[in-house]
Amino acid sequence: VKQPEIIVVDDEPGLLLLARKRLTSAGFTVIEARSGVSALKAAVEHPECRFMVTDYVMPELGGDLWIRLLERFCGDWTIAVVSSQDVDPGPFLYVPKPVDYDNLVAVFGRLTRP
Amino acid sequence: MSSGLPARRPKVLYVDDQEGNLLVFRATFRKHADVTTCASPAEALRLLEREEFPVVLSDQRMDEMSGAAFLAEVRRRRPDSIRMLVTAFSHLDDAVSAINEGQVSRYVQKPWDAQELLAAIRDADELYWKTRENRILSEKLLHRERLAVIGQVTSGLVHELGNIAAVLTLAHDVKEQLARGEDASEEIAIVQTGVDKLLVLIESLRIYSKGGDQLRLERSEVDVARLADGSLVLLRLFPSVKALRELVVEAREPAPAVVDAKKLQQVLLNLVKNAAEAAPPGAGRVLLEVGTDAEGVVLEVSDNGPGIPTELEERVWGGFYTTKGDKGTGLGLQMCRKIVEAHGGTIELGRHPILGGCRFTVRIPRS
Repeated sequence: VKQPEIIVVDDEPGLLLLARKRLTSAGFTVIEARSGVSALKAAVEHPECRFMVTDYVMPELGGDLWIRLLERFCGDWTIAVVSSQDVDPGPFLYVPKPVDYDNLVAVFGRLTRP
Repeated sequence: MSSGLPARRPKVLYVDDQEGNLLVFRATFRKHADVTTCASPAEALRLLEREEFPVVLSDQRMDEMSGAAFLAEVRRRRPDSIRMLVTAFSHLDDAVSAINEGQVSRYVQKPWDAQELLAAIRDADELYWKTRENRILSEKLLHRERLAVIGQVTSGLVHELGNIAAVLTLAHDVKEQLARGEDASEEIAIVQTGVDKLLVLIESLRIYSKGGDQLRLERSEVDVARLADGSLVLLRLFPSVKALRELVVEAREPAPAVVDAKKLQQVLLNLVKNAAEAAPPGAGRVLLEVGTDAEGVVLEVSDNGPGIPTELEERVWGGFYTTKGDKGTGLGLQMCRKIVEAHGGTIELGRHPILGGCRFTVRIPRS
């Protein structure tokens, strides 16, 4: 069985490492992106990917604009929007920071099971 | 007093090395004022360490030190006290130069007239209490403004601490990996950066949180360029600043000045935060420049927001002018101006030629 791919977007290298480790051990192939723009690039390069965990507040592309772009280009994906504040995740899943990866993986599993 | 209220007894310190003069002064004013006299300026300075006197009078001609020199020393220790120099007509020059140099607020000519001098002492006492009241009000405003800012930082701080806490959970991985004989150098390095970030955060919050409510300046030699650079961590705690597309800091050359670092940092934070809030969402650009000119340090904060219409430019300094609805108190810029002017500097609002938004220019003399 091929492992599902997931794009993780965060401008913090430490948080990226943490996400990579937790999600890899949960059975995902993790693609890391340091910004919204490189996440979109990764999405194009990995056409089969349907999962994303993304930070909400990011220096260049972030916030509401980022959510609207994701809605436009990745509307059918399962996306967790991570933030320490209450933010509007659009049609996606809001996940409070710091992320509880066990819980997140379980939720992803429930959401994608047919 | 015309108000009909009982007059407050002014508290006066009189310094003169002629015991006879002290005696006459005490005898004349004992009934109307709370009089302390001292025959030695050095001893008077020691007394001032322990006690504040709203009005301090000194004779000019004293063997130990001149009255003007003594009062200059008083100003340094007790800036609120109203200082008066008592001098004979033949030494008026001394009094004039003392007034011009700001060491005293007025002079009294010898021999003095009791009624006139009492009126002068009462005026000085009145001025002392009014100035003090004004300062306390301003400090209360400053305190409120700081609280408002700290309120905004809280969510950024929670965010930042959450990130650090998450990164620190990697310590657990380090333990397990090492136990299994696996490499954990990447994890250790990341945990270390988390700890470093925490330390920088604590340091910058400490600078900001302690003792910034007094308008009185605590000056020291500061490199303003480094101060600006060091404020970045704190600035990024503001959601509006973190959401900027670009925050460029141009502070390459050292910019030394004798300033109150905490107060100046407050000005800097306020200006950058304002600029970030004025900048367009998703495409905000803020430029923070620190440089020097012949007189001292020049600090400029510019944004690519809509700018402030020329007809409203004067209003931004008045307080309670805000573009942020109920988020801002509108006191930020007023406080910035107060702090800058306390340093003998100026703050001006202009427009950045390329970014198109506001440009605030702060000039602070070197010392």
